[in-house]
Amino acid sequence: MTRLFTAMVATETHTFSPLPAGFKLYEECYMVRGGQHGNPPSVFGVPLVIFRDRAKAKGWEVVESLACFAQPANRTLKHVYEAFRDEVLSDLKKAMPVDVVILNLHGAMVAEGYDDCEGDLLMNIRNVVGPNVPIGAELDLHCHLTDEMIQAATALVIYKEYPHTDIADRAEEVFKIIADTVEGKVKPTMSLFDCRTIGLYPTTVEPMATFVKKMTALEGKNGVLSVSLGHGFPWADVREVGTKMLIVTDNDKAHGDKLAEELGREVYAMRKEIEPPWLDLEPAIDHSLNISAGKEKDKSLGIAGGNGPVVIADIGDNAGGGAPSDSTFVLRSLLKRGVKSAAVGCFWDPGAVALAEDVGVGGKLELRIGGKIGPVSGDPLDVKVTVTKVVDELTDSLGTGLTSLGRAAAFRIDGTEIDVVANTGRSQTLSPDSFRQMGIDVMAKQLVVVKSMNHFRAGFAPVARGIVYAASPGAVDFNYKRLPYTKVRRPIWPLDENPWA
Amino acid sequence: MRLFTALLGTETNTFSPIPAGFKLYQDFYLVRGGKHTEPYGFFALPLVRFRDRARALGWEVVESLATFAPPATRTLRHVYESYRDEILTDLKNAMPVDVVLLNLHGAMVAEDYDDCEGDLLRRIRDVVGPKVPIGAELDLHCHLTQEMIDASDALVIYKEYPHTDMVPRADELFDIILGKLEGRLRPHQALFDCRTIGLYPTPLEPMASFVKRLKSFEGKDGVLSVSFAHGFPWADVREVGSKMLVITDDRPEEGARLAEQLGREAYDLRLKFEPPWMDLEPGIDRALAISSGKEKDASLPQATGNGPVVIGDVTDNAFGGAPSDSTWVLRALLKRGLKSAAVGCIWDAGAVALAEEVGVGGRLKLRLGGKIGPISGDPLDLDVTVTGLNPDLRDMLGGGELPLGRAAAFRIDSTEIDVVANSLRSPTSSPLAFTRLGIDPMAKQLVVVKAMNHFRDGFAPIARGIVYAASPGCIDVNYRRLNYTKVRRPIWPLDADPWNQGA
Repeated sequence: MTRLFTAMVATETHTFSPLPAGFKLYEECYMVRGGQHGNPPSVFGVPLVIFRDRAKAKGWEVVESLACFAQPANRTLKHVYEAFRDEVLSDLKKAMPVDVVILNLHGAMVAEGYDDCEGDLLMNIRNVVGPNVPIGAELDLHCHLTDEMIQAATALVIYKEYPHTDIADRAEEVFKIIADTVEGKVKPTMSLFDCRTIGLYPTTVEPMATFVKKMTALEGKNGVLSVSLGHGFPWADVREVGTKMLIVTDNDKAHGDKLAEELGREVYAMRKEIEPPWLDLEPAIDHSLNISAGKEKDKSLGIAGGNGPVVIADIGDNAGGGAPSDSTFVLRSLLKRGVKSAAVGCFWDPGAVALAEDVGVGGKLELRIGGKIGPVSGDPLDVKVTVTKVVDELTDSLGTGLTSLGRAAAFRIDGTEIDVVANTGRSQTLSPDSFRQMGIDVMAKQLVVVKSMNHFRAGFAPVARGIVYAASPGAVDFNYKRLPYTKVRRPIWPLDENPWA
Repeated sequence: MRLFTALLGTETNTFSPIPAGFKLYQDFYLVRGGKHTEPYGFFALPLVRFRDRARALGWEVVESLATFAPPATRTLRHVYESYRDEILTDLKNAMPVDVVLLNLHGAMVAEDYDDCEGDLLRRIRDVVGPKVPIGAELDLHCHLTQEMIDASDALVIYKEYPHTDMVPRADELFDIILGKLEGRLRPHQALFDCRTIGLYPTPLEPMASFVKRLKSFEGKDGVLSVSFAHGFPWADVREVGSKMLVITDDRPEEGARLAEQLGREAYDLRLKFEPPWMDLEPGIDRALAISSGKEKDASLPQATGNGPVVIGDVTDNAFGGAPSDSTWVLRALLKRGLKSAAVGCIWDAGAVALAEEVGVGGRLKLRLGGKIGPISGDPLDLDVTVTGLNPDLRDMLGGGELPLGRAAAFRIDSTEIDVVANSLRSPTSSPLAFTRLGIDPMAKQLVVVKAMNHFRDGFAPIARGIVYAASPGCIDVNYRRLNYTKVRRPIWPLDADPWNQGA
């Protein structure tokens, strides 16, 4: 019987973040052993469940090792990464002989002493299973693709969509390539091209949306098994930061190399157009209010002119990028401007949640909210509030996966119709449903502020009158030139004006 | 004989920003059916004593709810009513009972209940009827009301602040109630209103001598107990202030006369009873002068000159209802370039969680304190190394335990300043809060404790000096600035001469 081994050790490491990453960060975010992913599965368990279901349908035996994920933060502590890695390797050795390995990884995990955790893990797994066992992995598109990963793996498949709405589809894709390999139908070969650029590219807006379609259209013909763009994750001081093109062919490296370079140069050429149209904080709020008043339109939304709120992405404070998710810059500005109608979430502020729980719904508090982690959080904000809702678990969803935002409380700021959500599990706000669970109707608000970079777009685009990316001050600085890189390979844009000179 | 016991208490600071709901009680002390575990919690000590004494006499003991919350603002109405009604239900189920002994505070205020203890005692009286003896032990920071007196047979109040005499006072109360039950005594309570608001540590003179004087009247001439209710200044209730209580064996006139005599003495000594408050910067000046041997602390004649100078960060005392996370003192120490200090405990569960995450030896860019409101000051941004973790830090006061929750110690870079953060808001009472995290207070120039006076019991034996520093913060010791609306008048210091003594 064919025996499949699966595992996940992952996070997206923001090496400039003030938040540490130890065992607890993983335990509190996602930590499952033996495949207990729940039903519906957590967003982090979705690929592993697919690998298992597809394998069982083929009559394979499945050995499920550690599956853990941490909310992005700074470098994972050395002993923590090594403990997780060694647990996976120990499980693997006990499970030997295995015939196939499929992993769910991130691709931008950095630990103390390990700038490329996935390369290290894949190399160690390859050393255990030997050269002939196929190893596949699904990666987040915010990965630092490295030569080590490519050398150690048989096939890597990366999400195409940001927001990551295709996690399940890509899991199916990597499973099929690896299963076909096991069955001798294909011989995957990978071609990598370094685009020499750093950036962040939402895929729901043009011209990126069309480029994704183009990548997909190239698959399944001319020996091309899979086309992936590793967008890269800008907030990491590692050598391999940046955007890379990956082609998996059926044993046609020459064609793969050529296609990777062709598509990679195309991405480089349009790098400025595919960055989100972010504005500095105050212009972003001006623009939002203008859209709300009908003076301007958001051309990215086909349904522009609807009745819903204008959604402001507080992109400098995205927990998914390693930020504290407690910065006060946007809310302070709204209050200063006298804006009266808004929903704002989620502030990571367990202390505020505890006070709300103690006083209960209807309770009034003089609350100091946010600004509690460091200078990137801004100053805390003192507001008089009434508690309007308290829940033991706030959930949110992305694609088909559920995620927990922890315990949560909603506050109405006195003299306004501004509702603020605070939570205990640092995580980005993804959909209107998370506000609905807190008793807040986003459709009734002039503005909605979400502490998220782009994932929120999947849930909010259908209801928003406009979406504005506000480059608030904070942990996730979008001016990449300001980031204190020391290790990145050069030349690379925008640190070098013309890396392809 | 069947004894019924219960504890429902907190010290309500009606000016505090911290709310008081179920969780505040549950997280701090909440036990049912007498399931107190050793070492006994500070607030369990009287209940355990009542139980032990009763069982030694062969009595049956019914132990109802025992709960205490760290001081905060008014307890939510439904929370108070729920706990009160639980006790009353237990009592009704336990009837007939022959005697009731309670451990209360005396300054518990709930929404719509300015006198929780008066309300609770009256309802208990309604259940048990006029003949069942009811006794209660109270904290000396109580608002002693006529309602409490009328509903009870005997109230006995701690004499010491720090509260080191909870068990002797429990015995005293038990003896009086036992005398009543056996028909040997007919306790009569006489109350005298001193018409003054204040806070009076008892190890300092002339208060220490005054406590001895109170005791000297007890046990003769029919005087069973003499209690000085100091009062708790940070409550906007009618009955705020200092009062004198004398219990006699059915000698109302002598009792009233003695209460007035001692009450007027207390009034005359009120200014000398107050601790030597200093503003923050002069307080630090004074601490440094003692540390360098230029000045001496006359209140510590036995001080050897080896230990640290201890600064009481009095306005941020959790047991007065403060957040215990203000940054004024630490910021001032850093600004002055001081290098050697221990500071604790800053209530900052977030900081503890980050420390737990990186572990001992882990380095953090930490934003510490200043997280509850304007009275917390601004948060401090520090580069620190985690030097100690304790998953269940416990301090001791008066032979009882006080929980401090999960705790972490941080060393501030380039200094020998160690700071303790904890997850459960509670004052720092003894060197244990530091030594149990690997910090040696004896090795420090200064120790800063977020406490009003309880720390004195634990630190006086090692301190070179003790300074009460009034930084800006929640517990304003200038009573004239407090926003009283309900207090009865005249009363000092709101009125200059409430007894018309003439200036």
